[in-house]
Amino acid sequence: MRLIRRDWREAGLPVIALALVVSVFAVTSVGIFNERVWEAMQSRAARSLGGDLVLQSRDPIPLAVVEQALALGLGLSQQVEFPSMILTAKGLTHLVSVKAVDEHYPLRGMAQIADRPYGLSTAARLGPATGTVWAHSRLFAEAQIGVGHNLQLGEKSFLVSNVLITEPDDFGSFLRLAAPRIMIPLSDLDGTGLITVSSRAIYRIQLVGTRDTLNSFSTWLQQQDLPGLQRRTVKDAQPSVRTALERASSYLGLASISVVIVAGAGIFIAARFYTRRQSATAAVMRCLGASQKHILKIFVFRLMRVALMASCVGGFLGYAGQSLLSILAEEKLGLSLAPPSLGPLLAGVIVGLVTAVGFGFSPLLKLPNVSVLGILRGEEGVSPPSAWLTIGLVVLTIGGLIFWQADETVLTLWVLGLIVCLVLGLTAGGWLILSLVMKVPISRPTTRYAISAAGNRRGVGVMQILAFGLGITAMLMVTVMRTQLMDGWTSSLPRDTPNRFLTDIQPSQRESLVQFFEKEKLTTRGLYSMTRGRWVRHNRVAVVPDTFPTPQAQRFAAREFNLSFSKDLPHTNRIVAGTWWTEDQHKEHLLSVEREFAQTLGIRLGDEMTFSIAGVDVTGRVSNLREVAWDSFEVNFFVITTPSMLVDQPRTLITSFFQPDDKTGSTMRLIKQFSNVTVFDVDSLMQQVRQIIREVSVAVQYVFLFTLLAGIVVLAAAVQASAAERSRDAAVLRALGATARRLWLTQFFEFALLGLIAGFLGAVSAVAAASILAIEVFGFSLSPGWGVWGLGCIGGALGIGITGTVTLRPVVSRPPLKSLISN
Amino acid sequence: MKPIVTAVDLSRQVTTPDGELTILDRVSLQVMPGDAVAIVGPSGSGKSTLLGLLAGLEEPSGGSVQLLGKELSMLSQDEKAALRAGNVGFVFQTFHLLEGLTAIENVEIALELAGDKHTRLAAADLLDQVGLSERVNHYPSQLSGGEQQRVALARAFAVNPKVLFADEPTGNLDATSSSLIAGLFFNLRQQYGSALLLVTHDEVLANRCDRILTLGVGGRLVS
Repeated sequence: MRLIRRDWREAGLPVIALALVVSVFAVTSVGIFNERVWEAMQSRAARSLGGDLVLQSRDPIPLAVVEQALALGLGLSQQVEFPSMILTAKGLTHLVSVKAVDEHYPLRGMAQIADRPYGLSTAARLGPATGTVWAHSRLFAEAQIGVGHNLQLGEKSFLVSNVLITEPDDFGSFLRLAAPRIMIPLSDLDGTGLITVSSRAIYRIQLVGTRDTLNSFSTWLQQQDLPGLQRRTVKDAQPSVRTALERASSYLGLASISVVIVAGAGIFIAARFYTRRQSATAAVMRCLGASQKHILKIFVFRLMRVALMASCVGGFLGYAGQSLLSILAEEKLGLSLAPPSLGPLLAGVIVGLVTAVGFGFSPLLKLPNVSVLGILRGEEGVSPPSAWLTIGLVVLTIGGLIFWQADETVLTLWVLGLIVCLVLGLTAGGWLILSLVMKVPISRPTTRYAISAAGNRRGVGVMQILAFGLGITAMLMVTVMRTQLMDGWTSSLPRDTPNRFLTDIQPSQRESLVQFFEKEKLTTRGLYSMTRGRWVRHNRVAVVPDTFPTPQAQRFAAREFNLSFSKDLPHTNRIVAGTWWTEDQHKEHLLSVEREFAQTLGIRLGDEMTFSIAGVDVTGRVSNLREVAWDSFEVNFFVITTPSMLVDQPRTLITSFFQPDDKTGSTMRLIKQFSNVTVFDVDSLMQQVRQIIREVSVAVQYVFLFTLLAGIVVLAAAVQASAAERSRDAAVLRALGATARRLWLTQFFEFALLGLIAGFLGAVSAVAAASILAIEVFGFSLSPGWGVWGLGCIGGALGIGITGTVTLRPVVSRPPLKSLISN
Repeated sequence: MKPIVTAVDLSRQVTTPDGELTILDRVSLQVMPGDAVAIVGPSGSGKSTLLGLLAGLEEPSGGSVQLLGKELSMLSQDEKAALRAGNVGFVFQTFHLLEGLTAIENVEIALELAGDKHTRLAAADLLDQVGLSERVNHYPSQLSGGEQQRVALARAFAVNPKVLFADEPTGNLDATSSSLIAGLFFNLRQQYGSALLLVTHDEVLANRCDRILTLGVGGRLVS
């Protein structure tokens, strides 16, 4: 306590401590909040898998696996999926995809059922009852059945009780099986007599549980020798949902980074202030014979002691504060959040220490070199910190922290580059504008004082503009830009986004299908060629799926690819490496591969890929890599070729269209007219993506509120760093006869001017950062309105003017003699 | 003729962890217009505090001060500030110039606060008088200690003060600058006819005043 009291009396250290408490408070609470919301969101995304972890196999799942999962307390549901024939009451037979589910199904999400085909759906908490079956809408048209009819499956008769609209975990299996789904209770499966040793069935268990339990189970699973057992987690969820989640993660990650940076600017100002205040002490120590190393050691130790204490206080505050936030999130989002872990608390304390070193060290390193003579002369005895060392330490710190958050080199470099540009832009802009303002001819000395107080202490003024500018940029991102980013993201999924996919269309049906769409007034997104081919050679070496390093790569390599050809780059795709083919190249065999897919399989630009299409080998060279907006719900392909490569190969067509709720009859008529085509309903997936966008919008609002809070308190800390000089100036003015009102106005004018400049630069930065974010992260272009400029400039001037003036209240109220004698 | 400054039983105590500490103990004095009074005494005897109390920069714990015929305890802070503006000049040991303003602007601000609308010419004239006509547009950080104190003198005399409070005006200067500043200081005082209350350790400077008041340890007026 004695040490704390002593540190607290050291001018500057309380400011550093305050900045660190605030930053660690923000980082910890944002970290815990992020972790909990993220886990809850992942849990939602897990609905597309039906669980947090899914295991599936062509053979029955070993009993030991089930027992281990149950022993660890994991929730477990079992299913069996296989193709079979049904016999209707009218004597018609039809191929179906049977899914037998146990009484625990579904563990995540709910199936949607209706009492008539394409009717209004309701959520089903449990699977079908014993002796009943749910059948997909498509089967009603194709097999001429109705609700209440009986159908025979193997040796058992079932009553059709409901129409199965969507399953929470249905999309993947629908793709594999071009047959409509029926769902039966697992307890009735034996009665059908359909499952024998040689059956072509997929056995699946879905598991849910806490992160730690799932990790324990996964570790145990890895130690077992279970060939053929496939493991899928939320990372393997639908690309559309996964892309939405990844975007959400990027946005939340960026939000928490902004807290650290705003706080860091405050810590740098505070450390500089502390160094200046300690210069006399360092000079005396030097006079008394202390070595430079010894002086540095003393001040570094003191800084780190304060940093550790402040970080612990901030960490515990953050830990306590996030629970309040989480309650709000649970109410707003209806998320069930997992209990917080201690990880973010520890991480917050480490971030505090790293931030103290990264932002506070460079000014401190100048203390041992203090000019004793300068101090004795009453001059500034300590020189400003080395610009290169400061930049180096700050970039290293921010880069490290971003990498820790983003865990991705490319994103780290992007964000770091953006931040460096932001800092440089704010610094250069602040310096330039202050220089221009100083040149404005103003005759009234008091007004001149207000301007020159900001402009003449240009180093301090620019630092304050930088801190204020960073804060305002973050705040504008919270308010105006957040809304615009979210609106933009939401509008990237417009109301008429395709919600039905049609596959297996024969090329001869093209004309009649186009006419059908015109007649039904349905919006389509064009017809794409689709050719199925197996990847057989990579750079003339045979592809052996088992040799790929990850299960996902093995699955990709083993399965048949949907290949398509196109003259033009699809509008929801973006080239990230290489170039799209020119007209002259249409006759060459060139390939365009989706970036992540290429990364997974180790495919690079210039590689040769050979596909076996209907027994014929076709080879192409990779000429570019594409990024695909999977959450656009357009028809997309992992591999696209030049027209000449596939035009003569056997192919079908694929398209997507939007079916409004009031046109449910269109799909029925489509199926009747084109009985060979398969319709996929992706409404539920789209709803999941829309839900994630809505949730992120709310979550980011709260995450950025912390940035706002951190910004305001760090602004106040930055203001306090110049309190001593202001106090002296105020005392001089008071002695010369200035009234309190005039002092208030002078202070307000000075801060309002800094706020106006910072607000303008903050608005420029926010618009630039949001535009880059919109294009690079969210995939749309942004058109910011006037609001951001108005709020930036007026809000900045008023906000900082008022905050600065209020923070300096003690300075103005202080009896002048104290300031004049103590200085 | 009425006194320009009157103090009666002026006391100042502060609270410390060890209890009440008396800085100034029942000091009474009178300064007539045009008088030059030096206040001397050992460090910690309350000289600067006495100066601040007489100028209304601090509240006394006991006793009363009349400045220019006004009882300071009856005035608000703003009324005291208004009384100082145009009537009182200050010179401090550490100059206390406003860093953000040039030399001429530092002089002008005192004139503006005194209600003068045409400040530039008067300020330039004063800087000329203190020998800084070539450095009017320099900022304090670009001036030497002696030059800064000359700007402070120009600022103090700019309002033609009836009374001048000076706290160790040569305390931060070398011998040459000190002698130069002292010469300027007393010349200007004579020229403007201001009363002077001067806190100093410098006997030579104190001896140039009409009277010398000595404060002892504990803030008592010794002589």
